[in-house]
Amino acid sequence: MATAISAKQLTVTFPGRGRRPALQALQPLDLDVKRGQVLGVLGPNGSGKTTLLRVLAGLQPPTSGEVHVLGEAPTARALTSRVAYQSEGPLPLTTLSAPEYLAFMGAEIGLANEVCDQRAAGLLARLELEHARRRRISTFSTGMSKRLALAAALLAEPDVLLLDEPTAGLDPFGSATVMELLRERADAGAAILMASHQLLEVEESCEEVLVLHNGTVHKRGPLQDLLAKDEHALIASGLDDDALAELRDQAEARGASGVRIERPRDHLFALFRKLGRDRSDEERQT
Amino acid sequence: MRAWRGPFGVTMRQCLREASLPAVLATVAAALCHWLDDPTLAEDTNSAAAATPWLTLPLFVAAVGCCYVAARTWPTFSRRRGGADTVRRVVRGPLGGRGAVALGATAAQLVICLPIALALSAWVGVPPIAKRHHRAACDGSKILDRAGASLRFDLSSPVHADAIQLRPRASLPMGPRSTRVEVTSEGSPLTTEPVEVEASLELIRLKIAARELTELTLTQVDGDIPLIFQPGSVVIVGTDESPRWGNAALLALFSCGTSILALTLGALLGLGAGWPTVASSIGVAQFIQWISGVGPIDEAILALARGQWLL
Repeated sequence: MATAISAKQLTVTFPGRGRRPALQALQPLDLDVKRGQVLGVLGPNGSGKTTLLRVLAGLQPPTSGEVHVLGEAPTARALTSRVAYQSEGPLPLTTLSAPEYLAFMGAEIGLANEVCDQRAAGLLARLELEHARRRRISTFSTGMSKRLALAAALLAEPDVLLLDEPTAGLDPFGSATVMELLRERADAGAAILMASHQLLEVEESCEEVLVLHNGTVHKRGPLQDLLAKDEHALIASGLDDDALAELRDQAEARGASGVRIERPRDHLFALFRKLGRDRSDEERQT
Repeated sequence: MRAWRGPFGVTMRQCLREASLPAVLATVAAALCHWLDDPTLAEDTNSAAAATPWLTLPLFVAAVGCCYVAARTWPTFSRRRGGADTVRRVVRGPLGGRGAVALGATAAQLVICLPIALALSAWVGVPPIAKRHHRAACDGSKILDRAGASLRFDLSSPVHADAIQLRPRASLPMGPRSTRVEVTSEGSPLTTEPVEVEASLELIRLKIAARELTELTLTQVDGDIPLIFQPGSVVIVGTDESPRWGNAALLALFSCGTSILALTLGALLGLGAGWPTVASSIGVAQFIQWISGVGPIDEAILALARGQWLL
């Protein structure tokens, strides 16, 4: 797969002022994200996640190092429509309605009015903002604002998505919808960088994670490798207690230690998603 | 129609939504106050509008309202505003959309001010006909201080005129007699009698037979009051007549200039300052231009009220 984002020895230092010392927000950092890849960026507050995304979005000049997004400098004008950035902060122009806001974003990134309106209508419907089309954004809840921000980010069908806390403040149904949309975009070949504190969503959506700590890469790799344990699980159904006890005895006889029999359960998140699907089915039938 | 969806259109729509009502309310208040004041001038009732201060209020409110709404709506107008990153990323360019925002705000101001200026100018009694006023310039000394002394005022191009306005400043009198001045052009007198000046900054209107003027000579006949003719104190009134509505429309257009200046100042300050500083500077810039008499808008309002064509 072609590389969408690459950074070599990237550093960002915020100069000190008065008694405030200089702050090195990103230590020399190497990054490589391929098209179609969803990379989760994790780390505590102040670890450099937002700074990294702002550098890639062309909003923060790096102090040193090389950065390329789709083969160009992050500030290149051509990237305005090809790279979408969803900031962590509040939406601008909150006196507009959602369709007006999307029309503004579409016009600024160079979308034709008809295409923009068509996509905006589809995204508003998909993100369940249809009912609020006449309301000002300032009256939106946090979750609605987040969904609208994502709609704006997806409007141009970008090749790179830089998302800062895209699901913070969203209910589980909203999160599930957002994750579905991101997955579809990744399947279409977009590279997605997602900074988040929602570990469960990162685990479900990202193939790979980057853990930052004080501006340095603490860990990086595929989730499968990072989370793997030196254990194996046998999943079976239809066994009674006697059969399970026999299996455990056999395992211990073959040298296994710490053998335990558990009844696996789903995540609460999965339950919410299932409830959401059921609700959608019911609505469709009625 | 992309501009209508971009910073220009967004700002213009927002300004129209939010600044129209305050401007309309200010217009009603101004009309009411003018009606209660009922200013009239003894010598010329047509110029009663020149004595009213109420033309300024609604136009000022519209200007401040549009500037405030524009700068508040647009997050890149000042530092540390929520959503600025999102806008800065999509609206590239050296001004970050601020130029289009300023234009959008002034366009909205024009839309709001135009009907107000038209209606209010008629209500306060602005003369229905506006005439072009030409300032005559004088080189060298500008003082008439003895009998026989004369000053020559030239016009940049010939003017077909039917009136002259003199407004000299009087210095300390050297005797009891008022000063009498003869007004001539190319050697021929324009009035039958010399003009008498008694007080400082007294506006003297002289009706003359319509003729083409290229220069004007003022000669002191007698009197004890030295007269100082500062720039603008000798005005030739042309015979071309323009309708009041055209003059009011010009005033609405000129009033937009104050907002361009205020928003430019706000945008420059906003590079390093937060919203409270930017909002205050915009308010102060507007106040100084409209209320304190600095800048051309105060003069333009007075000119409209006196029936002077603004161009």
